[in-house]
Amino acid sequence: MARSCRLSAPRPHNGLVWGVSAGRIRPADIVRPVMAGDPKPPPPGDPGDDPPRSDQGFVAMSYLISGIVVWGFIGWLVDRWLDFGGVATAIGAVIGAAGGVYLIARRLGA
Amino acid sequence: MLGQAIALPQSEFPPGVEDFYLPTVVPWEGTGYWVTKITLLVWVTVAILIIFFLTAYRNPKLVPTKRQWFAESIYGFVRNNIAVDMIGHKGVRFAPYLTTLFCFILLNNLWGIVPGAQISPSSHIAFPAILAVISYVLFIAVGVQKHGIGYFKHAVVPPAPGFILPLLVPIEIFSNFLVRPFSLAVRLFANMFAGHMLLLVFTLGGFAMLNATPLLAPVSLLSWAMTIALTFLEALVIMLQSYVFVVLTASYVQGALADEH
Repeated sequence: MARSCRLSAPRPHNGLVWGVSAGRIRPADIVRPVMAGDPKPPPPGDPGDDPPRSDQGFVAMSYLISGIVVWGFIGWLVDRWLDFGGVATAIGAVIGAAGGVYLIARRLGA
Repeated sequence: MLGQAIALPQSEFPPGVEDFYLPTVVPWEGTGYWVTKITLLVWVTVAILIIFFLTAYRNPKLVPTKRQWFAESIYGFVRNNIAVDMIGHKGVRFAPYLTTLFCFILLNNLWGIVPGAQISPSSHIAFPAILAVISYVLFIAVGVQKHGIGYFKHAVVPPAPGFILPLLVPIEIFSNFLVRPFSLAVRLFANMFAGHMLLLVFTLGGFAMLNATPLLAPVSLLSWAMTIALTFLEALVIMLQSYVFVVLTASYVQGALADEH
């Protein structure tokens, strides 16, 4: 529906850049569409859409490693304390990995 | 190549960390290491950026000059493909910072493969570290500005049932407030450090083999050919790392601006 709106007759607007109110426009933004020979607005997608994200891989990696490191470290502290000989570190790392995967699913998957 | 041949007698093989600590370029004594090639390269980077953008925008024309078109393209790329794509329309107000960051990192990295310079200031942890701190302070400030002090709760408490929160909150704190600045800085630093080291190994290795026995001359030539090939690889890494730094900064700002789930 929003797509058909965009293809219809130009909407009245007081800014030079679609979707940006006049006060927000900097000189560079005024000249850019003309300069680039590309007066079309950048494809904005529908307002409800998530923008395409190229950073999610890093975020996922960060959660997974953080989970393993944090809970592995806590497990290591427990090992030092109660002298479990490394078992608590291993359990902590596995639990942390599970927590990291859960976080990836909640934060990125939803 | 000639410069390296002349410099060869002082260069030890294998290269080490000390190869990144260049002598002072100020001729008088007692100035220590405050003005080195690294310092100069950063100053030149800043000067190039200021002069280029000031002259490109001083008298903007409707039909752009090449210089203006180039400046517009860089700004337009960061504004549309990073700021607006990642953050949404609110991202436009971060486009100037992101563009500055992108240009500064890109030029600083580029010194790593510019003949004659051939070392990047980014291969010293200090520069990426300060840039990462700026981005870190920025996204926290943006979050606090948007959500008030509740930003920290928003950032570290994921949408999950209560009994699992004790497991998740430490991970969130570690991931969002400790790993982020560290990984930003180290990713850029380590890539540029390793790139410079790689080029040193293949260049100096060629000389080391040649000095050992003339029979190894063909292998030395192969080693120098590898240096050239790796320089092109470095060009790719340089672009990619400056892009990644800016994309991640934008991603963190987007996370700070995001509404409650």
